[in-house]
Amino acid sequence: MTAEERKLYVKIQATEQMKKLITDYYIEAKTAEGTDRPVCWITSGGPVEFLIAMDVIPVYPENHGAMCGASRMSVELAEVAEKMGFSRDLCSYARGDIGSAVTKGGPIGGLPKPDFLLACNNICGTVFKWYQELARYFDVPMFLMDTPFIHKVKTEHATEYVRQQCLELVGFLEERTGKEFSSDRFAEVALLSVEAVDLWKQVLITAEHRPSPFTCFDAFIHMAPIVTLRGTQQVVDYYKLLVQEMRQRVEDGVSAVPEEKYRLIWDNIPIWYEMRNLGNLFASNKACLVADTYTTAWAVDIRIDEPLTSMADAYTKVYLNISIDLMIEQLLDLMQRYDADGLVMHSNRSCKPYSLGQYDLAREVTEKTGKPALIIEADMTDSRVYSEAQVRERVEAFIESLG
Amino acid sequence: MTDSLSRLMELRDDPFRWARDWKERTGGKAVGFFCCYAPEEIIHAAGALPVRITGENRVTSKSGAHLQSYCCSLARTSLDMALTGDLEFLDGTVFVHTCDTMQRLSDIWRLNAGYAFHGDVVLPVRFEGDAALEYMREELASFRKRVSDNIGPVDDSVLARSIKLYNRNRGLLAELYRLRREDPGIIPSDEALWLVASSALVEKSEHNAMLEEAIAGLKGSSAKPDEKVRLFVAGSVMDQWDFLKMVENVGGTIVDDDFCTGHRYFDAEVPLDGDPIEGIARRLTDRGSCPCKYLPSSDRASCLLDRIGESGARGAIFFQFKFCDPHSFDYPYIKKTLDEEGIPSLHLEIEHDSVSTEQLRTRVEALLETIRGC
Amino acid sequence: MPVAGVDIGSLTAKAVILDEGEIIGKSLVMTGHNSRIAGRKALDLALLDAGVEESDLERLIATGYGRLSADFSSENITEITCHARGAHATHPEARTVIDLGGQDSKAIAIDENGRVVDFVMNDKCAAGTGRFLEVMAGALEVELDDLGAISLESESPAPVSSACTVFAESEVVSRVAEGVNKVDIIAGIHQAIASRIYAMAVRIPVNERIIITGGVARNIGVVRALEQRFETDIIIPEMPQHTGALGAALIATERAG
Repeated sequence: MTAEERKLYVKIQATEQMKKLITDYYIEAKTAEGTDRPVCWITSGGPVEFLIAMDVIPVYPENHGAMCGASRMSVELAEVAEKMGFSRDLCSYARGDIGSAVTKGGPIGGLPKPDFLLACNNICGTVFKWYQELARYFDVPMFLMDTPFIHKVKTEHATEYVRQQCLELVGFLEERTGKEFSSDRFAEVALLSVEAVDLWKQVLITAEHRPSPFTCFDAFIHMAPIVTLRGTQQVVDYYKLLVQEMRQRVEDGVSAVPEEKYRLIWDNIPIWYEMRNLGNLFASNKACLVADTYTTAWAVDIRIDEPLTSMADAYTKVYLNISIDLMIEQLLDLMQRYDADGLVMHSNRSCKPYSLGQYDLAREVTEKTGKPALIIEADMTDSRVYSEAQVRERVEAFIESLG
Repeated sequence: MTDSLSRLMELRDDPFRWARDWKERTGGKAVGFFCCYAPEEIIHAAGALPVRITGENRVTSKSGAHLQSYCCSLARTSLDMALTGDLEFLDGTVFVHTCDTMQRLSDIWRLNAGYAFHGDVVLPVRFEGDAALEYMREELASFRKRVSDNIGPVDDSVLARSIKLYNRNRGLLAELYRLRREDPGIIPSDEALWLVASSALVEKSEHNAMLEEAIAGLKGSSAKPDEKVRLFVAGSVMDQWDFLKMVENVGGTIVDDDFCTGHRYFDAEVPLDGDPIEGIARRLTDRGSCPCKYLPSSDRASCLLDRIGESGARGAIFFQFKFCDPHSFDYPYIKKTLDEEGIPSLHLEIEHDSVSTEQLRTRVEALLETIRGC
Repeated sequence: MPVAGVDIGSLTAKAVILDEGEIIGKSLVMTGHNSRIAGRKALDLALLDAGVEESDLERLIATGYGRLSADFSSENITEITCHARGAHATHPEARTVIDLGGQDSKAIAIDENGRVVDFVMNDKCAAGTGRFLEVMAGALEVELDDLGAISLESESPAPVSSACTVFAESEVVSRVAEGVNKVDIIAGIHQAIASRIYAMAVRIPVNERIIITGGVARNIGVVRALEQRFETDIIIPEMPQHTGALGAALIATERAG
């Protein structure tokens, strides 16, 4: 790190703890391969509480994809998939994951082989096709949790359909694990999940303070536990630590970005391989990305009195499973709560549900708030489509226009 | 060529002309749709004309303000048509859940295209299991109610009548394909596929009448000696008539296909026993699926392999639109299956806004050379 | 007290010297492959033109693609902001700036003060830029400077559909071989350019009046084709290539004062 960068970077103490948490988790997952503790690959929007309750180890190819992206290893993995005939226009998480599965490549020597797969299409339709390929490759069963898209209004029959699938999932897991599903254990896990989600929300809320104690680049790193280990005690303990540290920063007036002048909202999945450079680019221009739509997605509301129905409900209503006119409400809420000066949208080639509609959303936000929006074209892990010069130009021009 | 066949062929120069004329004639409403899983019978029963939109070959101007370039040209050019007023004859549109792009297009279309009626039919992605089928029935029933409230009443007997008309059409198209498989020379590939496509642009009973006459005429026509190489083509939408003509010109002929504007459009009939909504649902699930649907009991690659065998095709062409995720995911494993069976195949990727038949010609010729063994 | 603005583009580098708000010197040079040297040269020639020494300058701002390589100035501002300011200065009624440069094109929505409201850039595709026109002029064996005027002579433009410059070139060559009238092909090319610019521009609010800047503004065929697309008259400034440098110099004036 250069002296310049050091000035711009305020290290979060809890990071060490988080790294240990995630490392232990991956070690446990990799050493489970071949034992009788089942490993299940699950999508980021999947109802992991069921897996935790059945003592199944959840593994997240998307989280692994982010790691590959951050380590700049995604391209070589994607090329393996492309040689197999998978189009370069397909989601780069999928291409990288298929490449990693086949070569055991990536920063941790690949993921442990799954015993079965759980895909929930609340985030996109790509996961269904991607996991279908994985099921074929590994020759393991797959469960597709189908959460119908919400165009304006969620129907009752859709809720019932998802609820029924939760029951089907229980049956599927009982068959795969040979164990019986315990409602008590499930309630325990659900409770821990709710607690962790609530703590994560508390962390995110500290950024409403001016100046913000952390940037969304920090949040992208610290979200790993809520995504991968939701429902466990360790995750609750971890976020208690993080909330404390962030609240302390607020009290001490610690600003993540020295001389925070502009507060911005980020939209879409991060550009994983450019986190540091982008972080510095914004910080050196006195801009702090104070909140984003990605980390706020893991703020799922579950009611303990009706865990199954409320879970079905929660997983169906995620940000990517709702129509544009519903997304706009969440965006406007973020703009307002965080007192934002503008919106930065990553037009991510790999993610159609997140990116298509951004142009309309950007116009709507500007119309309703008077604040401008910037669109950056890139990809979350495929660095071949990233142009540093172009992004720099756009970001600087945008910040100049904020006055 | 029979009178009916010529009338249908003329329509290809201005596909929506028939719909506009029909509207003037009858005062009825035209409702656009995109996917062959759309429950057209319900729209038809309400007295409206379902009209299929599959984009068109054009350079877009206005859609770029709403859709990034990394989604398929079916979505981009269709939206462009709507925004530039080329679809002003429509009174409404129906979006059936297909894929991520169409899902978002529905929102963008609803917020920008300005048609009076907008129907979303969120069919399940899972096409197996009791929960999915129950949900599908409810969703279809809900759509029926919305159509009844906004377009026209859809009672059981009217719906049953529409279903019969649609089944008749499906049967006729299936017969056409059967005749062609026996003797591809009776009608060129592009015309055969246009007959299917025109069915989604013309009112069903009128199309049935024309189709019956056209098929009768083909049966009677003398078969031309069949020296062309039989091919099977798979993809989503096939609306590239110059491409199909070119295939015939270079010595190939398409004897069967897996297109949603081809075989998948008319595949299987709605069972007539029992509740009509139930019947429509059963037709959707009890037939060969498309890549957008999850039907683990059916293996698409082996289905295609069987059909290739039955049709006598000696090679296959994957005709895909760029940025079509579901088809792109399926491609490697289907190609592998064909390779293992020694069936030569060709993968073509096109976009409506930049078609180059010349470039495609070279590739098709190369495939034919491989098949012929030169 | 004089100030300077230097715009180092991918194809050309321009400089403008301002004193008391008046342009007292300007220059334009080919950038070549060394932005730093080109920027230096542009500045020196403009100073010569103005009869002023570099030490006389109160402030100096660099902009453009190569601004970071300018070692004579520590201050740099993006060309988006500079084009907005420059266009507003010469034509305060402008609300949309369409800049067509050597290698990129952009559309900028500005307010009544010349401030940037929104912008969109197209730097993945050459169609609509100077480079594209150069390639086409070569393929058609016509002088680059004559292309625009020739395009206006056509009564039925021959459509050119390829999105890519390279493929468009081979498409044009095929058309010529088929015997299609060159004038019609040239008109077709200009229409293709206008289509692409229009499709990009509609991503921002396009309000009248529209002004065109950059080297391609000197091509009357492109301007007319764009006027047809946007259905409005487009302003062509007197020195379209110097808009960015002028804007940089104006900002330099503001910051000096």
